[in-house]
Amino acid sequence: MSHRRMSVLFTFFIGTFIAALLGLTPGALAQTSRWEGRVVERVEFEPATQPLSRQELLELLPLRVGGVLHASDVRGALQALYETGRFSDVAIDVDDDPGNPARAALRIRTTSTYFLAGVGIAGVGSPPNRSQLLNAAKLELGAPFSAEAVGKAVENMQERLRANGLHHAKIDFQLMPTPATEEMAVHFDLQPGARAHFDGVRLLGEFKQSTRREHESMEAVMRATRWRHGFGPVVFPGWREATENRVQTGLDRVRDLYQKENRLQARVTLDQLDYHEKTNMVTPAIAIDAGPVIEIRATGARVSRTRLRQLIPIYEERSVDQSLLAEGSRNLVDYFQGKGFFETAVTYRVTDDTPEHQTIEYKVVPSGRHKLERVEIAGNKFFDTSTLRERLSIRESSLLRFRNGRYSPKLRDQDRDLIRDLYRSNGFRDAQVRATTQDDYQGRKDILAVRFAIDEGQLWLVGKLELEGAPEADAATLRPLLQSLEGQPFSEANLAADRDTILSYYFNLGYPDAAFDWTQTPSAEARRIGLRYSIRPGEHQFVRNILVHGLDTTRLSLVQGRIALKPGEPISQSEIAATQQKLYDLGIFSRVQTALQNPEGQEERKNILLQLDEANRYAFNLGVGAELGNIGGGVTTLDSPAGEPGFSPRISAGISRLNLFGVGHTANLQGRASNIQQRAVLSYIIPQFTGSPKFSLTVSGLFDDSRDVRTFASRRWEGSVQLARKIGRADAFQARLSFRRVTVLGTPLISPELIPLLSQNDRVGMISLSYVRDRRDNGVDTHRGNYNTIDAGVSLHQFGSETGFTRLLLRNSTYYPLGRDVVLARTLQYGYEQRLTGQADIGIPLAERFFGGGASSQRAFPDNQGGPRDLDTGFPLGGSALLFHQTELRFPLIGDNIGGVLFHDMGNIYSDIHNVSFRPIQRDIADFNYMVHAVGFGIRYHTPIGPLRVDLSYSPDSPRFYGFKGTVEQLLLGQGTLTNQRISVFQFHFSLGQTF
Amino acid sequence: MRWQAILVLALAVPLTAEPLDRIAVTLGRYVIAESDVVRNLHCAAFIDDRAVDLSGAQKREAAGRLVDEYLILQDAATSRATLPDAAAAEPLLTPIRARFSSDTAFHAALEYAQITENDLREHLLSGLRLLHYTETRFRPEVQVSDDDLRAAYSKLKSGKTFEAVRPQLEQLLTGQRTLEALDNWLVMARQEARIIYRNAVFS
Repeated sequence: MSHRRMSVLFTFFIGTFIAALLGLTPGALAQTSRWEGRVVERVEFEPATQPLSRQELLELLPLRVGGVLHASDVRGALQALYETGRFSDVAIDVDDDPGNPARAALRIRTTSTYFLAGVGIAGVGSPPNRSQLLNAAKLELGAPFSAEAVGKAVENMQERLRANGLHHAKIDFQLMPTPATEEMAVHFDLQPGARAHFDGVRLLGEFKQSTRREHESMEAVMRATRWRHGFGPVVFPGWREATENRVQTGLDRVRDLYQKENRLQARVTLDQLDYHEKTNMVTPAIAIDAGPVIEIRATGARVSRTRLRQLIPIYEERSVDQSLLAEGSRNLVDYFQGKGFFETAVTYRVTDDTPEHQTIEYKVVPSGRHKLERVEIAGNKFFDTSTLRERLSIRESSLLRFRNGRYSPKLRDQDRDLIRDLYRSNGFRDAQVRATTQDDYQGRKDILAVRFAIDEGQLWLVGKLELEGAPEADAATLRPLLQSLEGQPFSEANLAADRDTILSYYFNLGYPDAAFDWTQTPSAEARRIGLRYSIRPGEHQFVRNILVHGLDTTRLSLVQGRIALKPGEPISQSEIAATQQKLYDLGIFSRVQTALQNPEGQEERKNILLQLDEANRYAFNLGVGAELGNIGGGVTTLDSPAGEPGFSPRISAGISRLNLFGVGHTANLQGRASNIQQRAVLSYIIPQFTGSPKFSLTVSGLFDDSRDVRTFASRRWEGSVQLARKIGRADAFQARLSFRRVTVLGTPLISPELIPLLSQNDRVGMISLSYVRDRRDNGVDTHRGNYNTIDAGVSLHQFGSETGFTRLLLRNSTYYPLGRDVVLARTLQYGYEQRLTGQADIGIPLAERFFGGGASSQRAFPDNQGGPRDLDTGFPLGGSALLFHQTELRFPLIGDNIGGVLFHDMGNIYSDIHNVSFRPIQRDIADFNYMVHAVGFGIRYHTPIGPLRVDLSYSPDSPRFYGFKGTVEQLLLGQGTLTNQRISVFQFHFSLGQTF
Repeated sequence: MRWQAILVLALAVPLTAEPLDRIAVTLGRYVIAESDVVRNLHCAAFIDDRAVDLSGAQKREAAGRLVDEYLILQDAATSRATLPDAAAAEPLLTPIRARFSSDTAFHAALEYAQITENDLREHLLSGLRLLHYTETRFRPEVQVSDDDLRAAYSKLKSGKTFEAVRPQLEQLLTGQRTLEALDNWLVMARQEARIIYRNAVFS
């Protein structure tokens, strides 16, 4: 060893020795009394870069520079720093001030906490899918990071993988720290390996079935699992891959197998899943306790087996106990009462015939069928009878829907409680309601009447409301939002609403720990209650920063433009939710997670995390459908101008490329093909145009080749740019510039002399504006509200048009509820086109004319068969004006899902605005400018995607017209014969959704 | 030699920075400082009138006691239990004080033991509160049947009759089972709390 190195070592030991002499062994605590009472000379932090600013740190500490040092403050400093959640460890050292023995210098050594940022998984081979693995990992966004948590996450994911047969799966992970924000991203790399297969089934316990021998039972169970390859009852050699879902469904099928044998208590559980390392196979061991055969039957009244399975919970719960037996009994009573047998009694008896066989008999003693004819409400002054009546579940008998009414003592009592609660929540604290049922009402046998006798009691009002703990400004804002104001009814429901209002207010102002309490205070006035609301806002929290993760192709600026919060602002829950919504609205993220970093830490300013999962960039759709209606008939023969019943299968497909260029734009190609239409639309959509969620811009190109009007086939090329703006919740505005070229294909089925005028190719450049006001309660099945649209367009030579005209379309629809379930709905549609160049109206090309009539406009006509017709061939020519008015009375018909409609439609397509007429009679066979009326009946079957609709209409004066018997050639040659034809007075329409 | 002098000072100066306090254990966001652990040991030694042992093992044991103390008193706070107030510690302090000839000797001994009278009072009060809460929280759920008492009596080699020792036996068994109930509860409470011991403190 060199002299120099020896010298360094010697010096080191001397230094350490001096320190030891002073009693300063590192690791042992100083004798605190030696430092107690000294003045704090300075406070330093190590390392110099801390997650919180020096000022923030000093504000947290109970220690002050220039203040007196106390051991309790030192301990308090440890607590205060650790409580922020920003530090995983803290130690405080003290040092002499060489110049002044009465002073001490403090050095606070910290270890920063890291917080979980994004968690990524690569190499997922579903099942389990990515979401299942992420859920299993239980790594919570924003929570403090720890190596143990990641280790546990790996274990949990391994467990999930093993449950899905992936016993050789390997998981590696990478930790990606970002020191600037104390974030730790974790990326898991998964190598799933080969999935294990089943190799058999081991059965344990009493698995024998009544009708089978033991080996047959075993085989039946094995088949039921469907763990062997096969198709239905046909079994192929080999076993399927073992997945968690397959194991579970296999067990369910085995349970069903035993249930079919009426072994309703059969216990089927997975005892073990033995894994064989060498073969990579698993053998499930199923423990079965078949239990006795339980026969359930209803006597005394007819109840179908299917209904019995629905009503008796033993089937579903796979258990027999007193409560389930009694519940079955109650369900049967309700079932019979619902059918009008209001006094039905049901008892049950359990008989153990043999250890292997048990019988449960439900004995039904049905009463005579009753009818609830009258529901009377008496004693109500505060609420009118209709207000109360519309809340009731029991129903008086009606002609169609409830022929015996709807009644049971249980429903009646529920209604009684509901009325009482309604009163109490409106300040009638002492309200009482008595419900009585009278049988043989007015001396008529089996006729019921129910009477609700209401004793409202006194109305209690709020005397005085005091807000305690809320600053003046907050109180002024809050007061108008509260329900329990002075003079308002006192009720606990109002108190609860006020509590929610107050807490939401503070949560949105950045007080996550806001608390609310209320107390009753005496009031000098009678029937008045004083209230005191005690509000404790708690700590105010602000946004430190917003940290965005998960962007791969999306530009950060796109996301930043949609973040409703800024650093320094209070942490508002509503703004966080608004940010999340705006990002979802972009349609490019499959998941938008928001979290507070360091959720449990006590710090004033917190980071907000946005973890974004980008959606697949390509989306596909495929659909099949069909049109059914009078769409048939030859395209060269002129025999059926009003169409013939036809069927047109349709296929549609589309592809969308989302998030183009990372700026949230979408390109979309949709195609549709049927034997009457081929259409392709290419769109480029810019949602939230200019960054505002109110605007969107769409540029689209369309190709359409169709024969949806019987008269002609057309080909359309169209390009358009549309700017849409939402105004509030109900209103929307659209401006559109479109340019289209429409070519009539082949020869239209009209008089030869009209062809040059009407079948001309047409190039239209049009600018149009639309305004929509939608105030319907439900766009699919409306009960109240209104819907109005205005669509105005002008086509000018300046826009490249060959044809100059204006077009206006108006719609006004209103919906009125009549009682609870009946709706009166009406709609008016009016439109006209005006040629700007002053040519005859007939000069408007066919393809630009109005065609109408059919399921959604005038049910007296088949689709697009309204209005003027060619006087030689009888085919529709369309018109330049339309007026339709439809009225519907919508009502429930059978049960809750089937409704009925009575309707009246009137209106027509007119040759021009001047010929619009309300005359209900066709003057002669060449007159089409009259108002066609139709009445009819329809049925609606309610489905989750809207009602299925069937309408039958009758039009007593449907249009008569000349038709032509023959071909186009015969028409040109002057051959063939004219025939009198007529649109059938009966029309049948089948569709999805309400008419309007 | 000048650079060696500087090095001696440079090494000595940082080593003079004494550790004043540090985190020993955390339970969620609550900190038990090393000073808490050391004080607990000092107080216990003072009460027992023995020399303090500040070895790692002893510190670890004391930290465990403080963890349990925190868990129990937190539970008491959550359930808004009424606990003995500061005055209740005085009767416990009096016999300790009586061991010394004078108040001056008592305070001198406290100073020697590196604790204050208040530390001692707080230590005693915590113990008292724990005992009180354990009694009110766990004793009511303890049941001792006649069979249990007879079984215990049969193991007891006492010349007295069963009826004669019954009250003492009942008290003994109830006490044992109360402690068992407390232990069981503590096992669960410890599992639910996020408790992290800083090994460096206990090494």
